[in-house]
Order: sequence, then C-alpha cells, then structure tokens
Amino acid sequence: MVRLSRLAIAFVCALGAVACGNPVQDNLRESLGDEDPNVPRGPLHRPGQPCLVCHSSAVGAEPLFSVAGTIFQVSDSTKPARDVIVQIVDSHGRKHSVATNCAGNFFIQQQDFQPAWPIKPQLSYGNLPLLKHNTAIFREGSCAGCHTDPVTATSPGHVYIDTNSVVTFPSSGCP
Amino acid sequence: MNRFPLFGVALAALIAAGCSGPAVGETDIAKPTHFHFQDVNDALGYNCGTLDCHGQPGRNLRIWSKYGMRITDGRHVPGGRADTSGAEADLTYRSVVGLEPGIMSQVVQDKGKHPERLTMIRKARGTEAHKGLKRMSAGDPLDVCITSWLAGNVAYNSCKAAESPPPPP
Repeated sequence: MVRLSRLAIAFVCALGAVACGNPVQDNLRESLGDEDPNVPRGPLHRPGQPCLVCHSSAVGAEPLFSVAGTIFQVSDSTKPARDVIVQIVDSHGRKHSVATNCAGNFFIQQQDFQPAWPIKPQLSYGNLPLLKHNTAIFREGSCAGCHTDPVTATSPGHVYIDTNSVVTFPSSGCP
Repeated sequence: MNRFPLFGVALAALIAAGCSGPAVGETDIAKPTHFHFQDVNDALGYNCGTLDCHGQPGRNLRIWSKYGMRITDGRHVPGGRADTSGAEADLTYRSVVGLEPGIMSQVVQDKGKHPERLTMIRKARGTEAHKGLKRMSAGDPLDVCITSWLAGNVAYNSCKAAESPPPPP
C-alpha cells in the first residue's frame, strides 16, 4: 500500500513537471544546441547566443541576468571584442556599466541592476566614438534576441563595435 | 413533370445569389487617410515597432519601419540606416487598418472622435492591459499624431516630435 502511494506521488510529480513546462522556452533552449566541449560553462560560454533564454527568472539558470550579450569586433566576423564598455541607461535615467570579457560576453546580474524599461544601451571602446543604440529596447534583455546572424529583415546582425573597421584589436586572451 | 427543370433553375439562382459577395477590391468601410501616413508610420515605428515589440512578423499589429522590421527585399536592414520606404509604410497601414476594420471605419466616419474605441489606442494609452505598458497619454505628441491621422488630418509636427524624444517610462 505504501509502495503504491509512493508510486502515485512520483507519477503525479512527473506529470506536474511535464505539464508545467513552457514549450516555447523549451524549444528556444533546444535550438541553442549543446555546449562547446572546449569551453566550460561560465562567463565565457555560448557567445552570440541569447543569454536570457536560460539566465532569466522564467527559467532560473543562475546567475540571473537583466541584460546580457556579446559584442563582436566587426560586422563580417565573429571575433569577440573584449574590454568594450557597455552602458545601460534606463528610463529613469539610471546608468549601469560593465565591460566585455575575452569572449566578448557581458552580463548584468539582476541583483546588481534591475533597469526600468525601456532601456538604451551604448558602447564605448578606446578612442572610437560612442556607439548608441538607435532605438529604445522595450523588453528584450538579450542582445541576440534581436541581433542574430545573418542580417535579415528582422535582424541587423550581431552587435559589433568597430563600424568602420579601423581598429587593430589585441588578441582576446581567452584560454 | 415540367416543374423539375423550373425547380432546378430556381435552386441554381438561389445558390448563385447566396454565394455572391462584394466584388474583389471593393469594401464599404471608411479608411483613414493614406496621405502623410509615412510620418505616422515612423512615429509608430519609434515608439512601438522595435524588433522586440511590434516589429515582429508574429504580431497582430505589425509595424515596418527603419526602427525595426524591414521589408524583405534584401536591400534594407533594421537599424535606421535607410529611411522607411513607401512599401513598408503601406504594409504597416494595412496592418493597422486591418486590426479592427469595423471599429476603425466608425472612428474615421466620426472624424476621429472617441478613438479609444480602438484597442490599439487603449493599449498604447495604458487603459487596457499591454505588455509594452503605457506608451502615450492623451494629448502628447504620439497620441496627437495617431488621433489626428484618424481624424483625417495628420499633425505632422506631432509625429516628428513623437519620433525624437526618448520613450516615456
């Protein structure tokens, strides 16, 4: 009798877990594919992918981000741009800045900054002119939520800092 | 005996009449002006049509503009480097007018009075649930831009003003 109850509880739990899944979110996660075996999970992984597909309150993969993404050097290559300063200005005028790492990734943790949407990001690197986002961002916390490759009618392509290809970037220094 | 052919003819006539509708291209709804819609379009694009909101093909209200979704002709990409084209504005016009054509027609016939009958106005004003929250208040540039268009006389300056400032919180 006890065994039967345990089985029933396990069955109900399994059913609940399946029923509460979000198929849209699940499909998005699946579409990102497996981890690169040469890059450990962490701040350097999955450059160019929409970070908040996993690192959001909806899914709960720690750490939770409010805004995150990857900055590349130029439009026609996916070489990462490290040490780019990403500044987010929220609709209350509050600012928060972070720098990209050697994979070009940056992330703002929810515990550090919860912007009031819409936000406007801007990028700075060395002597390059400040690069401002042309529009406000109303809800998408991942750069790659809109900036995917290739360039299409609904994507401007990946985010890059050197719009005129004038900078000689140092080696990324990633392991 | 002779009644059967007559019955057949009557039935065929009845079916033909029942299946007939307005000729292709004909509608009896009143539509807002197409004149200067491109200015309305860019105000909508700036405030509502970014790629993470209504600048997406999956939305009921779809907005094509230099600020978001572009027409798929391979020449333009989002990001504002090329102005919104007439073809893009036409697509937005059809999307906006086609959202609630019956109510839109009534609002246009009433010279734009009570535009809040339209869901898009209520959502943008924040009086109806809207994931993008409140985007305008009655009387501000974006609101004047859209409602003047519904009234038949686009307030060009308001549309331009709606394109310039940062969106309200």
